[in-house]
Amino acid sequence: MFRYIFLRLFGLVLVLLVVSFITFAILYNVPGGPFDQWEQPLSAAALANVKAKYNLDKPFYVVWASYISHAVRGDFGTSYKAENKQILEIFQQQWGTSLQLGALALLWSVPLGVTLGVMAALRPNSATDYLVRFVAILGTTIPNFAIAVFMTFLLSVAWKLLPTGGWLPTKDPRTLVMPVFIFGILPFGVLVRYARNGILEVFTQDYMRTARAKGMPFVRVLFKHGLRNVLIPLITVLAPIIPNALTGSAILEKIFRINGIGRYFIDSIGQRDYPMVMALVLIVTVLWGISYLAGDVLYTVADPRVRLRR
Amino acid sequence: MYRKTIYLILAGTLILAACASPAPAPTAVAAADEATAAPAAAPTATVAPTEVPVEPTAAPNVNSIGKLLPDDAAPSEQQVLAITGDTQAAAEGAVFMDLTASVYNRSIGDSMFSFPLIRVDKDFHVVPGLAETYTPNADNTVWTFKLRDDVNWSDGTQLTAADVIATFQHMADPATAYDFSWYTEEMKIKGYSEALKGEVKPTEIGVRQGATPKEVVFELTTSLPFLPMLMLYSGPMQKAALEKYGPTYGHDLKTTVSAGPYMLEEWSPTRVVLKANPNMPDDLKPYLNKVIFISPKSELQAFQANEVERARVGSGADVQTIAADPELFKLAAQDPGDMRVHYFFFDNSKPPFDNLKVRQAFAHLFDRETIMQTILPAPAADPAYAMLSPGFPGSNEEALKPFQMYDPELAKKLFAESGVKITDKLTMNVRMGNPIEEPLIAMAGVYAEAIKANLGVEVEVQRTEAKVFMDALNAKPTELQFGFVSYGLDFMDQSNMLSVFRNGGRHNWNNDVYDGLLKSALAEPDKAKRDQMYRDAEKLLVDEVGGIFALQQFDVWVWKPYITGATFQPGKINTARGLGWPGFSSLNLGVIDTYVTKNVTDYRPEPPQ
Repeated sequence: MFRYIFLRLFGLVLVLLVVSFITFAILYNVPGGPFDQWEQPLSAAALANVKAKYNLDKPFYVVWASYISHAVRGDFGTSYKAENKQILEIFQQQWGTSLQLGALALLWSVPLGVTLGVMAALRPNSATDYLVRFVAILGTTIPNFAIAVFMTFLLSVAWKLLPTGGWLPTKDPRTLVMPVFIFGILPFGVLVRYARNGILEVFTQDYMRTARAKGMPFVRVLFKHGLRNVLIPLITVLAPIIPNALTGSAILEKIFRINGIGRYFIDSIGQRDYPMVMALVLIVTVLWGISYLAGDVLYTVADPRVRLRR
Repeated sequence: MYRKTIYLILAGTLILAACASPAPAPTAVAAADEATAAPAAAPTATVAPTEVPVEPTAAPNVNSIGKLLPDDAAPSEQQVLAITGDTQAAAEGAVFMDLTASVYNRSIGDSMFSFPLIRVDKDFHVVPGLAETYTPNADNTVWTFKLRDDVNWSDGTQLTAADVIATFQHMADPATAYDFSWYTEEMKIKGYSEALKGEVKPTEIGVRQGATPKEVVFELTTSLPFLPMLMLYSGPMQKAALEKYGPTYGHDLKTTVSAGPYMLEEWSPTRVVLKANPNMPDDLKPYLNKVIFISPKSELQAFQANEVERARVGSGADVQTIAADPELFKLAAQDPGDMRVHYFFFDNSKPPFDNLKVRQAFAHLFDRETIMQTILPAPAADPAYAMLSPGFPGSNEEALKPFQMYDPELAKKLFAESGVKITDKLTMNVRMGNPIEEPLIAMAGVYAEAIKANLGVEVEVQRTEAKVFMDALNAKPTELQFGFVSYGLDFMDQSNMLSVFRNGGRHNWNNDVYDGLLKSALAEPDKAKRDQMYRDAEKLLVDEVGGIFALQQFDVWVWKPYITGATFQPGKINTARGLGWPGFSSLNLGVIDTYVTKNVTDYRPEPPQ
């Protein structure tokens, strides 16, 4: 297994190189650069100074190579928007908030999603099942920005129960309610559906009938034979949910003015903040790579028949 | 029975999940919280409210820095303003606190840590700022600005000419790559453009100390009678801090220093808290103890939820919200903002728009009155017929109306006279930068229909992302054949708005007579002659269709009724209740005289936190 993990990590390094090159090539070559001349154009000399300062007066592959050579030494450069701040410093200051948001969202959505999915499966086509499925479908189909706008209007503007934004866990915990709830809706809906379908499928298996027939208590049947066999699809679906959650939400952080790293995803692309985009892409790639690797390893725990080989 | 047990277990899990305590905060967050918590714990004022004598009838109503509040002002503890940032274009995470450090990457709550040499009142008149006097030599080529003796930095050091000089040298330094240097180049400071090219050292530009450390002298390459107006963007950075920490020192509590109305209390990309600066002379001390800047996605929702006390009515949805709510509508005020004019432009270097009659034909097909009424009615916009809107110095719009008046018959005649056949579909790019620009697409669409109906020319309207648009527009040669864009003032002089169409500028209309008039007017000391030159230039611009001037856009703001001040009163040009351009910063008189009135408790019992 260790060899497998090592090879996967080595493969991840290659993936990072390819991803960074493609991302940089696209970014650098799409129209529109990082430095606007919004009102009147800069003189040629002033524009040349801007390009020279940010190393943009060279072909993209030279700039990319320079970026990578620094990045491997832990220097991801500085954001064009904050020239005195290393990108790592920005991450240190702001990723924590995104982690809080993601962790809190997972904290309610994962146990609740699995639990309600199982409950729905145990009474298929009942009122509970319909209700849970309805909520799950809403969660997976309505975009979270739409829910955010609706909830803000209702809870902040009309009823004035919750603030429209901010992230003040200690000063005003009410600021957490809407973003944490809305950010968890999608994983909640996904997990409900996977858990429900998994349990429904497992309960049709012969070994489940046999276990029940030989008098094994229902609780034991459910946990030992039922849930355990549902773990594989749940791990599969959780593998992308976790890195998604832990890198924050581009939209919700923007809507609720949360000072996290997620809001940079959209902003930095729109602003052509190349170093920030590159750092985000690399970090997300690493998180996804590790998350999928962890998922593969967990398969072997959930099902001893699974073997990791390469 | 087993099922009941299962349900009990599952229900228990549910309850546990619902009651689960938040996850422990990661280390990075703890550090961030610590950073923001520290200033909150720090004393916020030199004169605490509790030190004021307790006799309610005898005690003067002073704010936290000892400034006597107006008679109708709420008590000191209510003198807090929560406001959205003025800088819509500011990038998230931008850290510059001074316009002289960066215009496009400035933080919310910027321009508070020093006063510019001059400020503007609500009607855009120049009034003294950091400089109490500004005196030209006989031919307006050397200007001496005398700084106030009583303005010092919050660390106790004197603000002197050295700070102003260091700031201008910083802007001239090629290593700085100042993003608004086109504006500074307009000041015509000796050696400035050469410094940008690396031909002279930044220390050699024509900004030097005068007879005393409180005098700054600007030596210009040409006569410039309106230089003081250009000094609106001149708020100095502290020389010592600039040299030690660089131009972003203002946003960091460890390095910040202020000679402006406010000092930094808390900074994050989404929330900036400033506290009144007790070190200012009394006339520059603000009434408000604290200002909280936030950057909500929807300003109007935050306003409705009583979280901010001012909001821009920006998008079409905002306008509808205002229109549907009589109480909110009463608070809305039409503000000329930066006198922004939206106009159509052409690539004049290539067919078909290198032909004057074609451009004139197109100019007579934009039915402003109908389109405005249907798509963007007042108070959001008014039709425009020239580059200088009514209210702008030298505006001559009434006289220029006939040149681009909607007249389809005349358009057809001019097009026929041109002899030009346009068989290919034309592309009209529309800049999409913010929600305010959304209605422009609809206008462009109606205009395209009119062109097709009257001239038989097909025009495809393309919405273009702002960055892509500006890069294509500014490319030499330009990559846009036909487009729709806007320009708003940076200083209140005709030369600013009209310079958009000069040779080598934004567009390639390239009219030598026009350029000659602009150049002559720039140096003309006689105001009447100067105004006439600009009138002639603008007439040429409109008649020869450098652009088709479509609409003047207004800013619409809502302010809570308990926020007021001298600047809030209607002016002559800007009759809106509120502060006016350039917003809540040290460039504007309102930063000093804004306060919270006694009736605030009818709206909010406690000040914002």
